[in-house]
Amino acid sequence: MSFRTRLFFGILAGVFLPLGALAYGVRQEMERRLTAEYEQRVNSMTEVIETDLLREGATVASRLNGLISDLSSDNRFRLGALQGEPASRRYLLDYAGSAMKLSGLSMLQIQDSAGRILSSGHFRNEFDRSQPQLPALLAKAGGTIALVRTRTPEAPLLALARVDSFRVGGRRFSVVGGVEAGTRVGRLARNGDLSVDLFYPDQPRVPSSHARILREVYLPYVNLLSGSGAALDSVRLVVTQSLGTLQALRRSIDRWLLIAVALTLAAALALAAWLSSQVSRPLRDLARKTSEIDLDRLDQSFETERQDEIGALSRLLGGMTERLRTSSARLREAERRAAVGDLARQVNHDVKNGLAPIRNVLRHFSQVARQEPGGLAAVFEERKGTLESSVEYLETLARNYARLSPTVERAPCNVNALVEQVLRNTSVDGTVLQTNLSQAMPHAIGDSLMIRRVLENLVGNAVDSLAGRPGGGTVAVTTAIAGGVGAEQKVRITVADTGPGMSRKQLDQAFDDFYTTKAEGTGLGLSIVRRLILDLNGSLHVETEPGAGTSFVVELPAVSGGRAG
Amino acid sequence: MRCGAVTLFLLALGCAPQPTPSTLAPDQPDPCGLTAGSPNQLDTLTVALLEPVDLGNATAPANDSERLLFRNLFENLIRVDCEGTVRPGLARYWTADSVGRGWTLTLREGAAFPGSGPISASDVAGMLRVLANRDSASAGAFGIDSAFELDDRRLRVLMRGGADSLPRFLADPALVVTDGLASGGGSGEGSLLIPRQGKLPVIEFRFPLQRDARDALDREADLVITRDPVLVDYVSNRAEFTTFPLPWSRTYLLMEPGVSRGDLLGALDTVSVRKSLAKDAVRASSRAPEPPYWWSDHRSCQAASPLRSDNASSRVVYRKDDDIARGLAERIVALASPSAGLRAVGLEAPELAIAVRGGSDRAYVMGVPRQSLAPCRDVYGLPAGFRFLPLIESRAYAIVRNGAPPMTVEWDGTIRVVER
Repeated sequence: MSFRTRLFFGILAGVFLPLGALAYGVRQEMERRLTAEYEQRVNSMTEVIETDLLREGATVASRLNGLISDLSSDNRFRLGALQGEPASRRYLLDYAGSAMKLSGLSMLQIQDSAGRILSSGHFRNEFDRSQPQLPALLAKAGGTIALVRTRTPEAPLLALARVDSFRVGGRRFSVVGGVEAGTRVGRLARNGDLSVDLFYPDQPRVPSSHARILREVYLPYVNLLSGSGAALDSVRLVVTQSLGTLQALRRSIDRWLLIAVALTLAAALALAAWLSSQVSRPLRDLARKTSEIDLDRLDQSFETERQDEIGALSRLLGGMTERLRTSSARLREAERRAAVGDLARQVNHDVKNGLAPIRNVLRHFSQVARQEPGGLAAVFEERKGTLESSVEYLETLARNYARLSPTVERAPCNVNALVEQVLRNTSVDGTVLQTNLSQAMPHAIGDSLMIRRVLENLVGNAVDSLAGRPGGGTVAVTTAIAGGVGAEQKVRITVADTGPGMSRKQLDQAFDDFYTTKAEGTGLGLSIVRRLILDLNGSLHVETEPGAGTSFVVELPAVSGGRAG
Repeated sequence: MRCGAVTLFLLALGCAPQPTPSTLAPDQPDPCGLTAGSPNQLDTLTVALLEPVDLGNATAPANDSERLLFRNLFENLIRVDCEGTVRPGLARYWTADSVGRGWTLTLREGAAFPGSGPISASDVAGMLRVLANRDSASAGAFGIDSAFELDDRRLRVLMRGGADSLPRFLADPALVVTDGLASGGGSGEGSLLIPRQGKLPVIEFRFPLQRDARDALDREADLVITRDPVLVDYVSNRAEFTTFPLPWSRTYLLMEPGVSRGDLLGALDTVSVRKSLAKDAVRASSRAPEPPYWWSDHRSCQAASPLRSDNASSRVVYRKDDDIARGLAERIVALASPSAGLRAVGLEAPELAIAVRGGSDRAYVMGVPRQSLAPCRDVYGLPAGFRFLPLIESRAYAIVRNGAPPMTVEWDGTIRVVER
């Protein structure tokens, strides 16, 4: 996980967790308080309804009492009801209508003991109908007020009714009176999210849910319009408080929470990116510079003006590089001294080897001159080859050693031209020389003689590696641009052969002084090449595999903007 | 020869034979007369009209008040009294041709529109010609072929068919002779004064009272026509008034459109039910209906109408301002099973007419005149394709202040003030 990602998640967690906790807390507290308030509201409404029903019941009872008192002493009612006296019958029929209006009732009917309607106020012409079940059912309801569905000529009537009875002339009469209930329920029906609905027995129960709070008030119910006959049942006045407002508040909080989370995410992302740029980029730069340090390249600068941890780390690495540079110089000096010692011993050894035949020949000449002076000329002729061979050896040796201490000159060099020049002077025997030279090549910075020596050695080694191979082989020299741009740009020279290649062991020893696989080699070629390239501030690496040939890749600093032409 | 020429001339004039004019001898008591106390003590007869009056309804009065007003405001050529006897109206004499098709009527001398100009034979003939030429089945049902004036007082009316006696439909309100007042339309307000004419008293009509009718009787009304038993009961204890029950004038019908759900008519078509309806269901003087019914023999005059399909509504509809119809409709609903869902619904007259034409209700309760002088014409006023059941008959009462001018009751129970 990248530093930036960690930073992002860290910031996110640091902001989001408190934010989430705050939103959750607000949500819970709001829900608790509103739910409590709604429940109180529903309870209050339920109490109001129950109180209203009790009051209506008492009012109806009081009015029925008054009517009964009046009826008991009404002679015309008595005549009409008991004796069927014709002149009083019409009075009887109209009595309930007038009495209903006077008493403020919406329903009134007087029935005899058999249930026959003697007079009806809400439906005058319903006289003589037999309806014994209504008084009986209302009495069965416990004398409390009940909801009665009956009819008027024009429409069904829903009334809060109760029954009472009285006696006239020894006969029992029932009087059922009530007040209109439809508009009363309708008035309660809606008040914002609070509603009161009437549910009849055949209507399904409203399930309680998270979306509402329910309370029910039960009321006896008689439906005189039922086709299956009237029966005592009960209706429910259901007080419902919708929690729509609460849910809307919840949704609102959730919405704002989401917006806050989205903003937090965006802010965290931006902050993480910014912090990352402030922290991780310098670290990456330090890592890159550190990765480029080796014993031959200790010129990296870690200077910085930062005063933070990055600045301290940078200065630390700068100090470490400086110490490495000092150590490297000491090491080079030790190496140089060791090399000079080895060389001196080698030169001593080689010179001794070269001088030994000469000394032997000279001893032979001395012996002949002392013993047979006349045969000296013949012996000289005989041993002259040995002398010449030894001298030539020494001369060669001297030349080789002379090459070990070049003077470095740094100037723009046309690498392509040097390659072509070296290849022209190279003698080949069955070997194919190929070139693939980049025309956009910049000039390399260095000493052209040193670069030529590098090329001569590498090409010569490549040609030599093909000697004796059936069918010869191919030596290919390629130039190309490598590295970055500007100061980072390099010139790459690849010398590849199709020779036998090298094993890992051979490769490890290839750059040691005096290591050679050739019968007449000095073993100094690649060693000199490596030294020359290092002196030119270049680099060398080898790609080889037994049986697959060898490629030497040399990279030298290039001149910025220069072209080889 | 001369005699023959005279005879031909008389035949051409259509004046032979000479029928006897139907008049009431001055000393002959009027069998339909109403006399309250000692008559003729009042110079002005004040009439309180209890129902709304539309002055455009002269030829088709819609209620008792309009009938009373227009009967005393305008005249027909003839009158028909409560016993069905033809009496002179605007026409004092009439003669018929030999086949009873052409009738020559002579107007009363000095006949005039109330408060306006004289009535000439051309006025009457013109009115009849308009009716004869009207392209409607109901107008054609009168059977008038043509009419023309012979001189200022005489006109000749040609019928499509012959008759032994002068057709009684000439006394029908549709043939009342009016002036521009009747065609002006509009609702009456305040009062209308009919000036003294001959031996007739001044008559002042007070238009519909918004207040209690008893107030009118307590103050100035000399004549009130009512079907309200409360009002009748009220004046029963007042010595200055005499109450006269008028002839049974309205028959209330239950009309079911075509094929209906259940047999509502059948359930009510018993004598006991109809007696019960008359006795208890309505607050008016009523009785069970008594045949014959004028529409029974003239249903063929109606255009054939297909039976309506099954009704969609459960309404039993009545005219909203008709308390008798309302009581009947409510009783019909009460007698039906509650589960049938019938309900009584009152509609204003125009809405009721539309509903009846639509025939989409369960039944209609409507009052129709008990008598008809032109049944074939009147049957057009009844909806075609309906089944009728007479429910009750009702009558009005005339409450007359003692000393009021003499009055007579005509064929339809309407009162006319007559000469002293």
